[in-house]
Amino acid sequence: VSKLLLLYPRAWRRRYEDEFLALLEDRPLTAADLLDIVRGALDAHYVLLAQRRSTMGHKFNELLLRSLVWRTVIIGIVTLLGVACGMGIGHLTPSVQAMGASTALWVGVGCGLFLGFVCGAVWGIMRVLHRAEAQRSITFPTGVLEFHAHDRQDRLV
Amino acid sequence: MLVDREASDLGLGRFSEPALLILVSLADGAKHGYAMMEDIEALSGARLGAGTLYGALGRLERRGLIEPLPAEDRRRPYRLTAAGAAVLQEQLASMRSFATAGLQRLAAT
Repeated sequence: VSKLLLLYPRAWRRRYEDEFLALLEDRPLTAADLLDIVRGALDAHYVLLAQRRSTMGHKFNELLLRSLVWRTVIIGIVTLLGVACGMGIGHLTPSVQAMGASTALWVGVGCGLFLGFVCGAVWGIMRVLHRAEAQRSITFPTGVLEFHAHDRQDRLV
Repeated sequence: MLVDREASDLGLGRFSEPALLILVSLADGAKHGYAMMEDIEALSGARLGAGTLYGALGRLERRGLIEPLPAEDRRRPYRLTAAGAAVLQEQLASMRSFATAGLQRLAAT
């Protein structure tokens, strides 16, 4: 179960991990509890995102947009390559049943890579936001996005 | 929306119900997470998951409705603040008037 806590943001773990684990040790866990812990991790990331939006002010949207655009371009290229490979496989292999073991393996590997790439992109965006908060500037291929004190607002979410 | 919401339901979205249960549980004194879960289950029959409990606890803490006390053997108790008690009072009064209105309508039919 302690491995599941790795899904939570670091700041959350620093604050709550000890007492959370102590709570989990106190009662038997069901499958629903495990799902609830995963859902709690997603919520903790959402809260962190909302807090960053509050502290970064209007620059948050610009940062998120730029970060998303670059990752979408890369994911788009990977997707197009994947579709082209899929069409090639479809052309050479008339049905799934007729697909050989090695082809099926490659398709599986391709799907896994794509899924990993999307997850990596989401993780990357969270890292960019974290770095922006810590360093006050982020370098993109199109230039540097800087944050100043007046971009920060002290609204609680 | 990522912005703060001021709604009559505590403004906590899907965490409103767990948050209200937590506030009621803390109304008679400080409790740590496990004690809260047991109390809430006995009080309402609802079994809160640990993820839901801590999601709601974090929100209540950030709003200043509850506050953490020093940890005792890794278990950290939480207690209601004055603001939390006022919000709970308001919520329960609102629920009481709603329930009264509903019961009066039922009795009239």
